[in-house]
Parts: sequence; structure tokens; C-alpha cells
Amino acid sequence: MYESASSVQLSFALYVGLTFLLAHLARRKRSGGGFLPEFFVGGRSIGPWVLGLTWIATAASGGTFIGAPALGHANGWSVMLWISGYIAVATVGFGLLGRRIAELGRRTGALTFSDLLRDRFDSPAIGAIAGIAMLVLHTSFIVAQYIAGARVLEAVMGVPYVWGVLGFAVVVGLYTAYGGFRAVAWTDSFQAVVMLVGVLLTAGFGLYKVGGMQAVFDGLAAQSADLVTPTGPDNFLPLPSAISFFFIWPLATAGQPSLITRFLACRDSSSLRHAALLIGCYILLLYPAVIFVGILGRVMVPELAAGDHAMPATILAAVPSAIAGLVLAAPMAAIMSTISSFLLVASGAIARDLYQRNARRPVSVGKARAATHLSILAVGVVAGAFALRPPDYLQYIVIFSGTGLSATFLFPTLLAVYWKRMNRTGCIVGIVAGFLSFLLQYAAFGTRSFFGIDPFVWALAFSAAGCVAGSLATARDPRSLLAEYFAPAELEGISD
Amino acid sequence: MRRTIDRIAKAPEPLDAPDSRPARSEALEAALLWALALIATVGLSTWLGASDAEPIWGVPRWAALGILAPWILFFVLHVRFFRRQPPKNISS
Repeated sequence: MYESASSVQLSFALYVGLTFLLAHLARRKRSGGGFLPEFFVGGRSIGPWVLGLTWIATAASGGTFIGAPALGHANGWSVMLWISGYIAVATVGFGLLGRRIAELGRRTGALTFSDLLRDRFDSPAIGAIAGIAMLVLHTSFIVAQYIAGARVLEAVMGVPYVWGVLGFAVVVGLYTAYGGFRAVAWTDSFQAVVMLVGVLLTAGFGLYKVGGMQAVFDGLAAQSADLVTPTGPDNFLPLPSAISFFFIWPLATAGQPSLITRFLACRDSSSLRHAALLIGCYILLLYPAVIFVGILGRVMVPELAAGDHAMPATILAAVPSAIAGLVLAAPMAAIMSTISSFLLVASGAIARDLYQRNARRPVSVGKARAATHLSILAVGVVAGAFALRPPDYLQYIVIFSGTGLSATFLFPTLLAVYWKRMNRTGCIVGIVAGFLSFLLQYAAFGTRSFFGIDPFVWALAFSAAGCVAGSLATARDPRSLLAEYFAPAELEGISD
Repeated sequence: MRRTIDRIAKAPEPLDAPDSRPARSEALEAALLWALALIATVGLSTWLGASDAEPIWGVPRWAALGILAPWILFFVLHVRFFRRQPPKNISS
């Protein structure tokens, strides 16, 4: 424990209180368009600021605020190259799928990511496969976030780890169940602002304390010359890994179902474009600063009890104690915003994809509401139980869960919405090929597969090949199924 | 064909006719920009980092010229990309 001052605890309490207040205000703002559309896509009425901030708050997880600074602390400036793929995250994240998904969401009435694939191929099997994958992989990501959050509470306030996990599960579960997507989006927006302000304040105060950029460079170089090279100590980032991470950050973000779902909620195309502009600016400010805080921490607090304490230890060393509590809310904000968004997707997988859409009779609003709330409870309890036995390095879990999802779904989604020849067989083969090839490579090679490239990159290639081979080997979809997705001119020569 | 159960989620406004081509060409441009950023960033920082790590304003030269400068340049391209998209409204 680094500090247990009551000001820190008070700041945390204030932060949690404000989060609940926002959730309450969001719930009062409901559009009245039915329970499920309001709960899962905010009535498709989310404007540019909230859309952009909820998107980035969901993308920035405990890995960003706990794992990445820990790597910066251990490996110095090389981690700036490791994270550099974020240069293209906003462009790729919004440019690849944003506009198309928003259009199709309105056209088909899709409320969840699985709805999109299921409706495109008129296949309940694909909806079920996607729903189960969403559930399993998002729940594992939530586990990583519980671990990160509990470690911050443990390091900063001495809260026992078990109570930290329980605290996160209860707080986030409550406001997510209470207000649904709109509450999650509003609280995400608040949390995104807290994250940015917290990181910039830490970097600024730390820089002032150490004595400027040159002093940071000299301090690092005095510890080890490897801390200022692109490859880092012990060849942390060889060239194939640097290339891999330039694939991983933008493409894993673009294929993340919880982020794709954000596009279903946007108000119009103007909101999408403005959100993309906002996020480009936000990322430019946030991500280099997050890594820089880890690097600063290596100079200010060279010895840590655990690698994952780099961020909180640097905040407490750099920031005056009067505002340290508020700044410490930044990693908490990153964690909570990601948990709430993933909780929504995982519960949607149960309540919407697996239950409502497979029910023999129409599901009443009361039953849909009960199923949704019970799903949130179930996912929270299961993830909390797994989090009680945490692994050592958080960042690798985050990479596994995050990249695994995108390796499985990016190409099936891209080809489903842009390629008229894609059919349900191609979609299933692409999903299975991406998922299995990713898992098998990790099991066999760890994070460096063939030619030192990350399994994610190969899994993407296998998934794309699976989609194409599966589609071309079987009959094309009938025109009646494609008419809602492609222009008549694009469908010339295709019959029913 | 059993479609989405509750069509109530559909936007009340009429939609344009379906057409994947405008969004597809934007997606291709975004992918090209990403490839450009990959080559510039990883290529430059690896090339510069191989020679020395002398700092520019306290930042290793390879990171300043290979990552931070391309990041700012790419942000300008990002702004141009999203500002020049046609103002077609998906809900009108």
C-alpha cells in the first residue's frame, strides 16, 4: 500500500457517486422506443461527443492504464513503438465499418453484433455461434478488468483483493443494469474525461518533479542503455513483434464487437464523422502520455512491489496528495468503462442472442427485462469468481481476449457487409478458422508464432481465407436475402 | 423469413436505397492509410534506432522522428479523411 490518506478515499467515493448520478440522469433521458432498443443501443440517438467518448473509453481498458505503463516501466521507450499502432486506431476503427454498420443497423433493426451476422445470412446458427463466442470471450475480458481494478485498490488504499473484485462487480453491475446502454455511454464519457485529465496531470507533475524531458532521458539511460532503444531490454520488441502490434491495435479495435455495437447506437452519419475526429485527437493526447507515465515511473520509482503498480505508484509519487485521489480515478475509470460495456455485450448475448431470438413465442417486455438483468448478474458473478485466482501479467490476458475476439470476427463481419458473394458457410468457416487458429498458435508458440509474428496476424489471414474458401465452395445467397444490403446494380445477374 | 423480432428498433425516418459501394471505398482508403502509417512508423523508427538513441528535446531521436512526428502527420490525414466525407445522412 502506497497511501491510505482519507483524501484519496474521499475522492474515490466522490467519483463513484458521480458515476451513479450520471447513470440515473441517463435513465431519466430514455427515448421510450421500447425496452430492448433503449437498453442495448440507447434508442439509436447517441450524438458525436458521447459516441466518441464511449467508444474510446471502451477501447481503453485496464490493460491501457495498468498493463501498458507497467511495460513502459520495465522496457522504457521501446514501448512507445509497441503502442504506435494507435496512430491508426481511430481511422481504421471508424473508417472500416462505422458508416456501413450504422446504415445496416437501421435497415435491419439489429440491436447486437450477433443480430447483424444472423440477419445478413438469415441463420440462427450463426447468431448462436456469435452469441456464445461473445459471452465466453467478453466474460474473460471482464475477468482481466476485475483483476486490474482490484490491484489498483489494493495498491492505493490497501483494500483486500477479494473485496476489490467484489466492489467492482457490484458497482459496475448495478449502474449497467439500472441504465443500460445510455447510462454506460454517459458514464463512459465522464470516465474518458477523467482518464485524459488524470494522465496529462500525472505526466505534467512528474515531468516537473524530475526536471524535464532531458532529465528523464538521462535517468533512464543511466539505469540501462537498452531503455532508450526501439527494441528495449532483452530484445523486448524485435521487428516482427513491432509489425505485429501495428496490426493488433488498429485491427483488433476495429473488429471488437463491443465497439462495433457503438455504431448501431449513433444518431446519424454526421455524428459518426465528428466522433471519429474527436477520437483521433483524444488518442493523440492520451496514448503517448500513458506510456510516458510508465517511463517516468521508471525514473521516479525504479523499484515496484509488482509491475502492475507502475501507474498508481507514479501518480502517488508525482501528483500532490491533495489531488492524487482524483487522478487515481483515471485507471479506475478505464477499468469501469470497459467492464460496463463488455457486461452489456455479454448479457446481450444471453438475453437477446440466445434467449429472445430463439424463443418460440414473442418475449414480453417484462420477461426481456428480467432476462437482461439476470444475465448481467450471472456474467458478473462468473467473472468475479474467476478473478479471485489472478494470473501474473494482466496485459497478456487483455491481449488474448481482445485480439481473440477480433481474430474471430473481423473478416467475417467485413466480408459479410461488403462482399455479396459471402454466404453463411463462408461466415461459419471464417469464424471457426479464426478462433481455432488463434487458440492453437497461442497454445503452441505463445505470443510469437511463425516468423516471430503474433498469432493474431496469422489468425486474421486464416479467417479471411476460410471466409473466401467456404463461400466460393458453396452456392451464393439468393437475391432476396441480399436486396436489403446491396444496390440493385450490385446484384445484377443474381437470381432468387 | 423470420427477421428481427422487434422492428421497433428501426429508425422512423426513411432510408436511402441500400448501397455498399460508398462505404466500401472509404474502408479501402482507411486500410491504405493504415498501411502507410505502418511502413512510415515501424520503418523509420527501426532504421533510425539502429544507428543511435541521441535525444531530441529529451526524446530518443528514433521515437521523435519515427513515431511522434508521423503520429502528428497522420492525425492531419485523419482529419482530412473524415472532414471530406460526403455529408450523406444515414437517417435521412
